[in-house]
Amino acid sequence: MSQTDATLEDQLKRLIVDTLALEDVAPESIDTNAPLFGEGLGLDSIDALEIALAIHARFGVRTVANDEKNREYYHSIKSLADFVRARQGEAQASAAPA
Amino acid sequence: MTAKATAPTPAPSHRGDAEWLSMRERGTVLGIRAAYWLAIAVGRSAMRPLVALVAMWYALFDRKVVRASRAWLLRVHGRPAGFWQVYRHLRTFAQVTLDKVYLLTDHTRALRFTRTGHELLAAQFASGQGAILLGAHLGSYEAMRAGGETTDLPIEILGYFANSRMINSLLARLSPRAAAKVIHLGDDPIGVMTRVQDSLAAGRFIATMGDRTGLTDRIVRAPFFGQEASFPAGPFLLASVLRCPVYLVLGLYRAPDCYDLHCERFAERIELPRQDRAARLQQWVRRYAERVEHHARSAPDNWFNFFDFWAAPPAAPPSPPPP
Repeated sequence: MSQTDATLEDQLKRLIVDTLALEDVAPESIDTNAPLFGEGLGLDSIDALEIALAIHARFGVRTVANDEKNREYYHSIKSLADFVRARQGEAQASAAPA
Repeated sequence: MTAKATAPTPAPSHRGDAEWLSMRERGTVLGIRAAYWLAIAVGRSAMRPLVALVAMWYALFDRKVVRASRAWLLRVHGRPAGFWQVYRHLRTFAQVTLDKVYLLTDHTRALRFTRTGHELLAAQFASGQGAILLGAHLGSYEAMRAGGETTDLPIEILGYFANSRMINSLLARLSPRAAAKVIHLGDDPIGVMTRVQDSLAAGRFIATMGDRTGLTDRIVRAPFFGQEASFPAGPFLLASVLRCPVYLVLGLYRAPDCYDLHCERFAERIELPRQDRAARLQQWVRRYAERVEHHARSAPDNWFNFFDFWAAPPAAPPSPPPP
C-alpha cells in the first residue's frame, strides 16, 4: 500500500462510506471503536458483503466463510484495521521467502 | 400438514410470519423424518387416504390455517371459498409436503414432470458460473431438482433455518447423491455472504425464496394480487452485489401426480446503482411479484403462505442512533 499519509483506519472509513454511498456520513465522523453493525452505523449483512468485496479489491485481503472470528473482525473500524494488517502481514511474510 | 402435525409445541411468538416460519421449519425436520419410512414403505398412492385425512383434520380444526386459506382463495377467485375449496387447498399442501420425501429420495416413479426452461439451467451450469434461483412458497421447490439432467445441479438453499445443521444431516441422509445444502442466514452473516460468493464462483446455485421476509430483512412493498405486500430485498441486493444471473424457478403441482417445472430467466444482471437504488430495487421486486402472481393464478392451490401475506410492514426497526 503506497498511501501512507492516511492511516489504515482512515482509509477503511473512507472505503466504507464510498462503497455504501453513505451520503450523510462524513468518514471522519465514524468512531473508530464503535460497532459497525446493528447499532452504530446500522449496517447489515449485505453491507458487510459489499465491504468484504471492497476490502478484497483494495487491500487484497479476503474474508473467508466459516471463520468464526468474522464477527470480531467486522465489529468496528479498529478491529477491521487490525484484521487487514494481520492478513497483509501474513501475506508479506509468506510472499518474501528470500 | 403431516409435518406440522408432529410439531406439538407452539413456536415462541415474536411475529406472525416468523412464528410460522420456525414452526414450519421445525415441522419439516420432524415430519420428514417421521413420514420418511412410512411413505417409502407403502408408496405414494397408498398414502392418499392419510393425506386426505390430514387435510380434513386441518380444514375442520385449524382455524388459523383455514382463515389464511379462505383469505387467499377469496383474493384469487373473487368470491368466498366453500369448505371443499379450502379442503382442496390444504390437501394440495399436504400432498406436496409428502411428495418432498419422494423428491428428495429420488423415489419419483409415481410422479410425472413437465418442463419449461430447464435448458436454461443446464446451460448456466455448463457455463461454470453459478446463479441465484429465486423461488416462492408456491408449489414444490424440491421438484425443481427431480429427474432428468438437472438432478445433480449443486444447489445450496439460503434462508432462515433455526436447525440448519439438523436439516443438513437430514438432507445428506435422504439424498446422499444430491449436494443440496442449507445455509442459515443467522449464524455468521458476514461469513455466510462470502460463502455464497464462493459457491457462485465455483458454479453452484444458490436457491432462495423471494416471498418470505426474514426477521431483519430489508423489505420492499410491491403490488401482489391487487394490494401491496412485503417482499424481501435481500435476494435482489445479493444478486446485484455478486453480479450473477437470476432465474425464477417454480414446481407447480397438478393433481393427481404431475409437477410442472418452470424455469425462466429473471435477470442476466441486477444493476442497482446507488443513486436510484430504491426505485430500481422496487422495479425488480414488482417484476418478481408479477411473475409469481402470474403462476399463482394458474395454480392457486399451490400457494403455501398460510399467514396474512398482505399484512402491514412491521414497524421500521429502531433506527440506528446517528454516528
